[in-house]
Amino acid sequence: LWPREAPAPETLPLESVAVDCPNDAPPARDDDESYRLVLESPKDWINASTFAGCHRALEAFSQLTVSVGGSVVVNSSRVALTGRPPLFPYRGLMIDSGRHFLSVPEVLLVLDGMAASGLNVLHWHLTDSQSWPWRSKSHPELIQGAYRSDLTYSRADLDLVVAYADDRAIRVIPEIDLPGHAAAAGVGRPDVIVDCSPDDATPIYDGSYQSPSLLDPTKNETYALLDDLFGELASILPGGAIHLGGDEVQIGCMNSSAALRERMETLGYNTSCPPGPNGANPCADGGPGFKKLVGDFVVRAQTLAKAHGFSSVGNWQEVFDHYGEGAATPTPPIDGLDPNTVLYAWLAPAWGWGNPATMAAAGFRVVSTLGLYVSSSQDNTDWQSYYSSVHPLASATTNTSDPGFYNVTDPQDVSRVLGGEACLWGETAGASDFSVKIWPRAAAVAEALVSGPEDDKDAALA
Amino acid sequence: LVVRGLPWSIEDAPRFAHRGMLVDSSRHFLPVDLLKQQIDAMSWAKLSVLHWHITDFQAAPFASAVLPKLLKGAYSAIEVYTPDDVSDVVRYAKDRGVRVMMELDTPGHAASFGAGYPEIMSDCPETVADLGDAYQVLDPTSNATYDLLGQLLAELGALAPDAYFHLGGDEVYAQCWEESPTVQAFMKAQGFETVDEVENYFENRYLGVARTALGGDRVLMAFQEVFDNNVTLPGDVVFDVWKQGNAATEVPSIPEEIARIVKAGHRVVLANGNSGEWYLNDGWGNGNDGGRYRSSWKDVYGLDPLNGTDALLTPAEQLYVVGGEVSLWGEEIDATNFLTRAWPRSAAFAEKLWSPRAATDDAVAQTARLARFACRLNARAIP
Repeated sequence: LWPREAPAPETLPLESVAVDCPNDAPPARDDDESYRLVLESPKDWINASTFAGCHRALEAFSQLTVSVGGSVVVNSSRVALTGRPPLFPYRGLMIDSGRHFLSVPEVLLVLDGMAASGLNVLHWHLTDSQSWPWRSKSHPELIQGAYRSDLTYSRADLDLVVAYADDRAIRVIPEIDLPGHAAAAGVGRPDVIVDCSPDDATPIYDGSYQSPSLLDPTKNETYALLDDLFGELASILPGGAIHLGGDEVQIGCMNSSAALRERMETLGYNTSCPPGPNGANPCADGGPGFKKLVGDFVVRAQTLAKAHGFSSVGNWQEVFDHYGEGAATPTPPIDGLDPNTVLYAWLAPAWGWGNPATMAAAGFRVVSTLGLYVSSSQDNTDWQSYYSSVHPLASATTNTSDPGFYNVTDPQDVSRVLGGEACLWGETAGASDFSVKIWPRAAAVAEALVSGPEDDKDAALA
Repeated sequence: LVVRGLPWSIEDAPRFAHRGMLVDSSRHFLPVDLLKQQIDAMSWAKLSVLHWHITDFQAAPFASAVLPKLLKGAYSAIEVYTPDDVSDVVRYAKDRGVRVMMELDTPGHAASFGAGYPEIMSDCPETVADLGDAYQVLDPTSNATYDLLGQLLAELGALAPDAYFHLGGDEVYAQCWEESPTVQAFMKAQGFETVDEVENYFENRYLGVARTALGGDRVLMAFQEVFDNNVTLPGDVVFDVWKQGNAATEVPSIPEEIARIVKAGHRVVLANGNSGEWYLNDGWGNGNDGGRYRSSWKDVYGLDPLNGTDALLTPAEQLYVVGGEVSLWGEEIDATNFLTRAWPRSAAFAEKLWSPRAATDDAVAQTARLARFACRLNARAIP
């Protein structure tokens, strides 16, 4: 497997490489990432139509070089590469600083790894029920939801990360998960959290994953808060994309808050619900009024975000298949959902909810995280399953129990699948192991998203 | 920076002097920068010895100036340590209070030397073809073997001038010498009946070469097999204990092995427990337990070098146990996972070996201390 002789490189005297590409606009989803890299002394040059393309060319160049005894050597006599556009424009990695804080240097290290492997979107799941580490200027009280005062991100920290990502042609998409997974906001702002604890003695927020609280969709204060927060994020990422969460809303929690039900009735929402399957836990799955309220919240949050100039809004798939009208599962999409919403698929197709095929067929754009979670400990060979979770068109599977990348067969729908994303959920991942969990598996994902997976796994291993 | 409660003073001293970590740069090359990070982390945990297992049968990553063909046994031209690299690491360690104990493992675990110097390998092609390079052993009958080892020891010894030097000696499988016509002829000529006697001959001669090459003040260490295989070595040799005795000696537990060696007059460094607690490389794919480490930090903390010896040794004899080591054997470890494999569990080991025995028997109490230390490592960019 390992050659005992060093390769004998042909020396190519490189005095300079002309780099001809624009350097002004921040990276965008529609960037043409193709490039030409020609090393044929004395004409050595890189050419691309966008900064992103240039960056990909420079990374390719670095992969051609080897450091031998103090000099840098290009391991070929002549090089002419034409990097074609990647298979998918959205090649993402999600980090979660709500469950475990990641320091700025750690986030920058992640960006370095992404740049080296061709991932171009950092989806930053910034906050969650366990902690709120974002030191918002418009609402400083929220920082009380951080784990500790030094485990926080200032405005300067966020600007730094965005600028660092920019330089690597990586887009940053922040996520404020709403209305669920937001209990930590309630530490500084208990007035915007639905209190569905069973009695006065039980705290609203117990810091646990199952903390059954959510942002209160019946209060003006909630929307005022979101408006300010979106405005602040928009000033950090003008014209960028934003992710508004929407997953795992605990509807049962809503039903157990008498105060909330009262406000719902005032607002004209139906608070009755059919009994649960065995009579217990009425409204555990949500009566029509509760789901409508959640749906209206999602739409209103989208509207607020777009009013601040965000060019694209993303949500977890439940906005497509959980909170819509009717008792059937999956439900239709939320009434009024922005048709340009980018849906993030995460529920296994076998579980009978929506999946990339149904999402794309309904006209939505899709990013898939299916089979791409990197939160767990890995063993030597599981990079292969990550690699083959990304199915190229030609081998789309019809096996609906396969948690594969997507199952989209209609070519028209195919163009709506923007790409995929490896996710480092933070419940059991943090500063001590983020690198060893992300890499090298996410690099396998990256190659599959750029070029499509090769059948020859040995070639891919090298 | 605020210091509260002044004045106060601390007087402290470690329980064991030898608080070590073994790194294996043969199975996977470990870049110099990584070794430096490792040394940093060791210094923060007050660990005192970096046991550098630099070569093994898979690769010899040393660009020896006196044996220029040695690096034919390296994986590649870029996965080598120059003599300057070794000096650099030793100096970096010294500046942080960490000693570097170099190991040149022989006569087994040395097949990689054969890439450049085939003449010092035993002629046992069938054994190697059937069982692999792990079973290749150096030729104990040839002066060339001892000359070469002497030169290499002198070079490495000058680069790593610590008082301790490790001579290896583990897992010398009998099959190679039993096949080798040269060794068989040698045994006849010497009147040896078993390969154990050949091993005795090799180790004593190697020891003599080592004393000359390294200078007389060195303390030499060897793996326990050298003792178990009835090699008679001078009393100042320290033995590295990592398993029960072999079947021939019928020593069913590690404490009993320790006791046996101590009663024969040798000092001991403990490298493992009966459950493999201090082999930190054991994890995914190598004795793993459903994706978890086989040894949790509690298991690591639970092993004490004197465990099980209270009934076997007097307190005076127990002083012959001079410390312990955790090991990062490199079959499944390289720069991508070395630091996470080593830390923070090594910190649990570090406390165990520094602090008094009575203060280090409660893993629950250690939890908070270890958690804080782990966060401190993360803040200093050690994952």
